[in-house]
Amino acid sequence: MATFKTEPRTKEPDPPTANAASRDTVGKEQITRAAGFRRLLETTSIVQWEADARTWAFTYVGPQAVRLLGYPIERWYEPDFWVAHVHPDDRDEAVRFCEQAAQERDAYEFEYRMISASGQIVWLHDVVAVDRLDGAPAVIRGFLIDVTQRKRAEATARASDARLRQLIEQAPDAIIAVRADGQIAFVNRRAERMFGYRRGDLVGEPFEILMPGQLDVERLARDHATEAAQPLSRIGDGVEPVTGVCRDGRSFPADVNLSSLETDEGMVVVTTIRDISERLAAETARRESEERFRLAATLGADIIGETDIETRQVEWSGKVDEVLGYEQGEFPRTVEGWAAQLHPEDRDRVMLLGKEANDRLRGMQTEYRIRAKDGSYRHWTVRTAPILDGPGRPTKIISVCSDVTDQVVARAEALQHRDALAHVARVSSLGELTATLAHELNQPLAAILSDAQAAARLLDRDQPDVPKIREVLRDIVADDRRASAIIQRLRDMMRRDSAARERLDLCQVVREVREIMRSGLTMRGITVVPDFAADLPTVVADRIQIQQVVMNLVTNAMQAMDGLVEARLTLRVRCRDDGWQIVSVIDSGPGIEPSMVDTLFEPFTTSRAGGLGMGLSISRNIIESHSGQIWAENGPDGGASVSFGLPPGGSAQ
Amino acid sequence: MTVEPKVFVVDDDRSVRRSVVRLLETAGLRVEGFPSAEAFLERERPVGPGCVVLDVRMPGIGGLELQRRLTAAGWSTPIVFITGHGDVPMSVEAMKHGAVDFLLKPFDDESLLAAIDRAIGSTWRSSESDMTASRLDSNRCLHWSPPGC
Repeated sequence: MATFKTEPRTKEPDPPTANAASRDTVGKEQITRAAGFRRLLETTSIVQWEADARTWAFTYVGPQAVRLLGYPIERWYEPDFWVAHVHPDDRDEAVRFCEQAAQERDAYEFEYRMISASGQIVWLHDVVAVDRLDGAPAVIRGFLIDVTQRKRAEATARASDARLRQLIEQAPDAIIAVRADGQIAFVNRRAERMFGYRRGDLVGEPFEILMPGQLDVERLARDHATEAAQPLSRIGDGVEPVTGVCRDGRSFPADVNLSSLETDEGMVVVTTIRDISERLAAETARRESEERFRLAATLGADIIGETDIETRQVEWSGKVDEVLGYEQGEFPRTVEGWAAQLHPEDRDRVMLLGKEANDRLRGMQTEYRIRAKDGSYRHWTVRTAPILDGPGRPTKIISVCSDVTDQVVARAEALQHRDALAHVARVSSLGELTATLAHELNQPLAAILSDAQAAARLLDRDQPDVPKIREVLRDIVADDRRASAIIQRLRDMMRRDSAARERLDLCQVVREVREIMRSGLTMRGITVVPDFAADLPTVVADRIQIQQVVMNLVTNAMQAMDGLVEARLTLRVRCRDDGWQIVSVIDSGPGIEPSMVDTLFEPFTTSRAGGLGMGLSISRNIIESHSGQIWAENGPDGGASVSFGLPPGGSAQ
Repeated sequence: MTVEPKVFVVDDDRSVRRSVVRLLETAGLRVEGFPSAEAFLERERPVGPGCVVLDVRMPGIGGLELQRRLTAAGWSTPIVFITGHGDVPMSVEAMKHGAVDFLLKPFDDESLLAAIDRAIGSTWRSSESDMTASRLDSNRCLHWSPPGC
C-alpha cells in the first residue's frame, strides 16, 4: 500500500542577498555547483525527473531510470508512462494524491509501487517539488528512490510480529507484560480466562491485583535495570507456589516465570503464569498413595518388587535386604541377579511360570526358595501381577513376596517330631526292645521246636501218618516266617540313632506336646489347664523321648476321661526343693484301680480292651534311663495323677 | 477205677498252643487247649489226674493270676509254666505257689514230657502221701537254671 506525506505549502524564504560586487562570481559559482550536484546524483541510484504538472508526462528523466525499472529511457517520455506503470492497486490513490498535493503543497513525498519491465514490484519513495505559473502547478520535479528492500524488511518484521502475537495469544500459559511502574501493559487470552478479567479491564491496572503481596514487579524491574545481578527467573516451583487471585476472589496456586524485555516504553517484565492446582492435586494424591504403599511395605512382612520388563531392573521395596541378611541396597536389583539367588531346584520352574504368566498377560502365584547372604535358603510365597501400558503391553511386573520360612520350618519340625515320636512309641529303650524281642520271637520258636519234635515222633511210628506230617511241616514253615518277620520289624525299629541329649526347658516340652495333641484334646472337649512354675532351670534330656513320655501320659489321661462331661487336664511343671523337676499330668477321670497301682508300669498292664499296656512301661524305661522316677497316684478329689521327675542338671546315661 | 491223666494247655498264642497240643497227643496223652485263662476257668472242674501247661503272659488274666485263683478255689492240679520271657523273681514266685516246673520257650519235647510226668506223678503222690508243693519246689527248680541262680 502506498504511503503519502505532504508538507504544508509555505513561502520559500528569500535567498540571502549577495552584495553587487560579487553577483557575477556568484552566478558562475551557481552553475558550477548545479552541474556538480547533478553529477553527484547521477553516481547514485536516485532518479531525478521533471514532468508537466498538467499531463503527468515526463519532460526529463535521469539516466539511472533505466536501471530502476528496466525500461529504455525513451519509454519514460511516453505521455502516460508513469500512470500506466504504477501498481494497479496503488494507481488511483497515487494519482489522486498527487493531483491534490500539487494543488495544495509546494512539496510532498509519497511511497507507491511500480511494475518493472520484468514484472517485479518495485517500491519507490517519491520526493516532489511543485513549480507554479499564475498560482497553478506547472512543472513538478522530484527524486525517485528505490525502497523495495526496506519495504520487504518491514513486511517481514510485521509478519513475524503477527506470528509472535498469535503465539502469545494462543500460549497455554497466561502471559502478562508489566511495566516498571507495576502496571500491566499487555495480557494474552489465557490470562483473561485464568483471572476472569477482560483485556481492557487489566491493561493499565497494577499487577498487584492479580498476585497480591507476592511479586514486587516494580522492584524486580528496577533491580534488573540497575544491578542486573539477579536474573529474573522462575518463582514458585510447586513446593511453595505463588497464589493467583481471580476477579471473583477465587484463588489458585501458580507457577510463575519471569523474563525482562527492553522495549521502547522501557523495561517490561513478562510474567508467564501457569495454574498448577490440578498438578498439585495429582502430586498430592500420588504422594499420599506412595506413602501408603511404602508404609504398607515397611510395616507388613511383604517384600514388593517392581520389575521393568524392558530394562530388567527390579526395584525392591520393603525389607528385601534385611530378610536376606544383606546390607541396605546390597541385594541385586536385576532380574538376572534375583534369578541367580533362586534355589537350583526351583529356578527353572519359577522362570517358566513367570514367562507363561507374561505371555498370557496374567499374574501368577508360587512358592520358591531364595538364597540369603549366609547361603541358607528362605522360603517365599510370591504373587505377581503385570502392569500394562496403554496399548496393553506389559511394562512392569509387581511381585508381592512373603517370607514364610518360619512357618515352613515349623511345619517340617512338627512333622519330624511326630515321626520321631511315633518311632519312639514303637521302641523306647534297648531293655524294652530285648524283652519284646525275646517274647515275640520265642513264641514261634517254641511252636517250631514242638512241631518238629512231634513230626519226628510221627515218623518213628510203624506206619507214619504222612498227611499229618505234611501238615506239621507246613506249620513249621509258617512259624519260621513269622519269626523272621518279627526280626525284620525289630530291625526297622532299631534304625533310629542313639538318643541325643540336650538342655531342655520342660515347660517348653510340655507346651509342644500340647500343641501337637491340641486337635485331639479339643475334639474330646477336654479343658487343658497349664500350671507352669516360672523361671525353671533346664534339664539335660532327650527331647523326643521326654515328649514321648508326656504324650503317653496325656494319651492315657485323655482315654481315662473318655465320655466324661467335665473333662479337665492339668499339665503341671514344678521344681521340688531338692532341685528335681516334676512334671504331672492330672486328669479328672475315675482314677486308678487300686489293684493296678502296683503293676501300672509293668509291660502288658492295661485296663483297656485292645491296649498293649506298653505306654507306661516304655515311659518308665525312658525316665529311668534319665536317672529319673515315674509314679502314679490318685488325687484327693478323684482323678489320676501320673508324674515323673528328673534330677537337676545333667542326668546319668 | 483208673482215669487216664489229662493235660490242659492254656496259651493265647495260636501256634504255640497248637504245636504243644499236637506234641503231647503224639506222645499219647489226652490233651485239651484253651486260648485264655478265662476260657479255662469256664470249663467244668476236671476230675482225676492231670496237669495244666500254662503260659505266663496273656492278655486279661495272666498265668500267675490264674494260678492264684486256682489255689484259692482249692484246685490241686499241678501247673507247668511256659514263658517266652521269664526272669528270676517271676519263676521263684511261681514255684512258691506250687508250680511244678517253669519252662522257657522254646523248650525240648523231653523236658516238657518229663515235667508233665513229674506233675502228674506229683498229683498221684500228693494224693497218696502228704508231700507239699513247697517241698517239691527245691527239687524241681534245678530243671531250669536262670543265669546267676
